[in-house]
Amino acid sequence: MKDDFPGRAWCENGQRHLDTRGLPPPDPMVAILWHVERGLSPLIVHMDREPVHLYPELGERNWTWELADPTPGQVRLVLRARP
Amino acid sequence: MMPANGAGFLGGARDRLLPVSVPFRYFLAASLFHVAAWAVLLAGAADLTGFAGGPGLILAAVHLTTLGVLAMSAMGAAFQLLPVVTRRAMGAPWPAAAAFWVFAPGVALLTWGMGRAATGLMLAGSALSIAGLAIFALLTLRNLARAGAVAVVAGHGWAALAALAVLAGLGATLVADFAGGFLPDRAGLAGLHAVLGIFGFMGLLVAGFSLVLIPMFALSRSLPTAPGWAGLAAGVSGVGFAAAAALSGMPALWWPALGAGLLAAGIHLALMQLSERRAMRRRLGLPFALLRAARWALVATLMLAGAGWLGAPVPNAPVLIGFLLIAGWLLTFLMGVLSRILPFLASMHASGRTGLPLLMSDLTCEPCLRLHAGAHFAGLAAVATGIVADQTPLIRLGATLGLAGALGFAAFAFNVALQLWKFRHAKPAQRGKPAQKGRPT
Repeated sequence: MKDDFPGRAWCENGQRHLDTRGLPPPDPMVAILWHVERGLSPLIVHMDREPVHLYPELGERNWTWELADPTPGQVRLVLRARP
Repeated sequence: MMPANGAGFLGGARDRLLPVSVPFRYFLAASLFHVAAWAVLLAGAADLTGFAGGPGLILAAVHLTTLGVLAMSAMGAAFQLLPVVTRRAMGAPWPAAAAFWVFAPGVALLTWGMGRAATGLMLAGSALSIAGLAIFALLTLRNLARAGAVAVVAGHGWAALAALAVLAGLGATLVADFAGGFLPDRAGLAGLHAVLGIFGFMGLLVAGFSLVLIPMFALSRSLPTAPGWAGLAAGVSGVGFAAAAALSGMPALWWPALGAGLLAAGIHLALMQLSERRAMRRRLGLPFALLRAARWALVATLMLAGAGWLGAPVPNAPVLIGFLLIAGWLLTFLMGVLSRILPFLASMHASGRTGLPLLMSDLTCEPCLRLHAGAHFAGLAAVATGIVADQTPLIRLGATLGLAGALGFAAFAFNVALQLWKFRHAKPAQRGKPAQKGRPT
């Protein structure tokens, strides 16, 4: 996958959003890391579960993450490149 | 906003994770049984080429590998990864922990009994091993029953567990027969036991788990499901024909078994290559060298078996093919998976505390993995050559190399566990140090 990513992305108030809800594993992780590797920080990700398998990969790439307003069945994750 | 450890968060994947101690006890035990398997093969090297299935050191080495390393690792990986992949919780951690405390001593007793030809020990060990496998099967079945999102993986799991049920019953019968000698066709049932263990249980688990694990490791998109279903159909057909051939003694049935097996292996190979071609990870590293070698070992061994049935001279063919399937294919695959999964899981669990995980690269002892991979491949080559040439010194050399590699792998595995233990018991200020390096991955 060199020039494409699964899921849907858009910009809102100058911030990049990515929706990976409904994607089979490991597509959410792949879509997020596609954006991370292009330095698209901050990135707001809309998911249907907490991506525990993503955290080791974010750590390797020196990015931080925060869960924002979690509700059952939906997760919003804010990712930032560490300065 | 809340940190990613998200205490009290409902429905998060973290809720589906078992405590890290549960999978790690399986993986660490597997790394110890791995050392024991090569050591016992070294001790019994002189018996390898004449091995025909009776009690002794070779039977012990085989089961140290199949139960102690392969099944043990599969259980740990299934308990940890299936709930996240299927999005269904495994439930309370104690049944998965209890399965270990029954299974691990069971494998030790069974293989000790096999090595010493002690029927009582074998009976006790097989009972405990089967009890542990039964707990594993029930927990996994319950999880797979609700795995609609990854139906093709669940399909492989169902078929593998069906094979496990028959395999375990046959294993207990074969052990009881060591004491009673009541089986009219022991060789046929032993052959069926081997077919179901290698291709039915472990082979189908490898094929099914690979559909999710390999894309996850390589960072590539999910694989198409239609070829996965075709591979499952071919694999199950192959196992069915091979089982019928082993049981009936009709050599003609091995040909459809081989054809279906080659088709299943070809589909698996194509899917794995597709995943690697689409990989975002630039350096796939040593784990993928092992995974690729394992896939080709499977194909090469099936073709070797076919050549043997066509009349090509393959000295000590049954022992050679068994060794290549168990050590060349399955053991190499599992070592590749474990070398990737251990630092990954440790980092994943560590991230729950602070949002600043232990880095996978800091957890990975590269020299240990290089030692393991080099010695493993050299050991496989030497033992296989020794079997063909009927040369015990070569088999001893290969087993020594394999043992050295297994010790390297155990050092890697215990280093990961030690680092995780230190991290979890460090004061928050000590573990909150941000990562400074961005390494290529």
